[in-house]
Amino acid sequence: MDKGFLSVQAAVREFVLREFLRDGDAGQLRNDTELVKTGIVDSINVLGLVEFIEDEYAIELEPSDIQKFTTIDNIANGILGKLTGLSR
Amino acid sequence: MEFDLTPEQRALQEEILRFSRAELNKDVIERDREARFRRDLWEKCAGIGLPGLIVPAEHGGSGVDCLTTAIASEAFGRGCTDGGLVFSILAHLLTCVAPIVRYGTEEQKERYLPGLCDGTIVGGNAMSEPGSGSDAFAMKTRAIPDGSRFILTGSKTFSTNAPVADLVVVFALTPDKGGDAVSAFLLDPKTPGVEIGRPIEKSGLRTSPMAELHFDEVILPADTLLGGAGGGATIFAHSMNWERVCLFAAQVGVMERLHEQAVDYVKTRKQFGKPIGHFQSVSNTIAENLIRLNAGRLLVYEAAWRLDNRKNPTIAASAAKIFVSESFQKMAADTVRIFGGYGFTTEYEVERIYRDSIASTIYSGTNEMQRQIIARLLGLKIHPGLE
Repeated sequence: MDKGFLSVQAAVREFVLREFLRDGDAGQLRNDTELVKTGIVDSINVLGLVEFIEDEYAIELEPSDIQKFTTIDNIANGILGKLTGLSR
Repeated sequence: MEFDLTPEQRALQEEILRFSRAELNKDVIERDREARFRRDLWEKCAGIGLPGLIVPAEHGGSGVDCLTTAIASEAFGRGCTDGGLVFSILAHLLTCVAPIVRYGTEEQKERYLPGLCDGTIVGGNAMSEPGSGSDAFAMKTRAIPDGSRFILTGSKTFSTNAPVADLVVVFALTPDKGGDAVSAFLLDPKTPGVEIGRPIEKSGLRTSPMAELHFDEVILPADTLLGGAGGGATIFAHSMNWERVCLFAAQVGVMERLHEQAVDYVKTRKQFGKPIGHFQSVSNTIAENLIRLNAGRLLVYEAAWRLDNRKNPTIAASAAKIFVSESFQKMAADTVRIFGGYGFTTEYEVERIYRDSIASTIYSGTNEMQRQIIARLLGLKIHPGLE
């Protein structure tokens, strides 16, 4: 599995589009769109996002990690940080 | 697809059923009338591992998965006629024990889990506030950082087990990047500044103690934070999925008991020279409720399987919660009617089950909110930020 930033970013974006948005919203979703402020991610669906990340990348997330996952870019950076052991 | 229980699940189910029937059902009518919680019965339940089912063995529990917990809860609900005791034990397990098992540090697990399992620590949970029920995250209770500690101020209501709890998972707002985030704390109610309000008297589940909690600048050491700062929303979502599966598994068990009681009664009660089960209005009702019971069980078990197998259980858990609670309420009301005038008396113990069933469509997130959760996850709601 390619674990470079662009690949992780694309995978996360694809998950968010598939699971959380209608087809017509794809063009409006940017990689820096605030997912929580826009209501795309909330307390109801956040666990699905967590499961996807943990299963796809074999990492374990703490609730405080999830708090920082506000945009697709932040999520990708957070995943890479966990994979490399470096915080970003 | 295998529908049979494993031998271990079957053994656990039978043990809990036998234990509950033999040990927990004396004087329930009086306990309900007096709204009396029995700590000694809690300790008996701890003797067979009920309060610590999901805790790993290294910390004193049985280490079972969600499906097995649901099977155990179903047996508990079926065997124990004190709905309040069942509710309190499961609230402890699902809203206090489960979050610590999943998100606690090793130190927190070692400090609390053994006692939560062996009956020496009764757990509770404090989320709702007078101004925030369904809108749970509109809470006002705050935990302000002060060096390495937090200062907790605010109030909670409808806190199950609060009058008798030794440990409460409290949710509060903490500052985060110019705004607020929800964090969870492990609170000892004996901490100075904590006031346990008057016990809240309820229509049903009367032996399950409930009260308000008030926090007046309560000092919380840093090691009481559960899951890190801002982790409260995730922790709450996690415990809600477990609650919507396993608490409602117990209700499936109660429905089984109601079914058995109704069938026994209508075979013996005679009117117009015939057992009343002969009459279609009675037999059809029993048949329809059996369908609801079996369907509810399957919904609960599928949600439990999803939770165990990382298959995003949220829609399944909400669906199980809606269907089981509404079926439970209907079945309880129907059972009162099947018993006729006797169903309305306390002696036959079915009116108490009806009173217990009323709150089932309200707690664990109202059924109205559950329907919105499903709609939300089906993508039926518009995201204002993208308009």
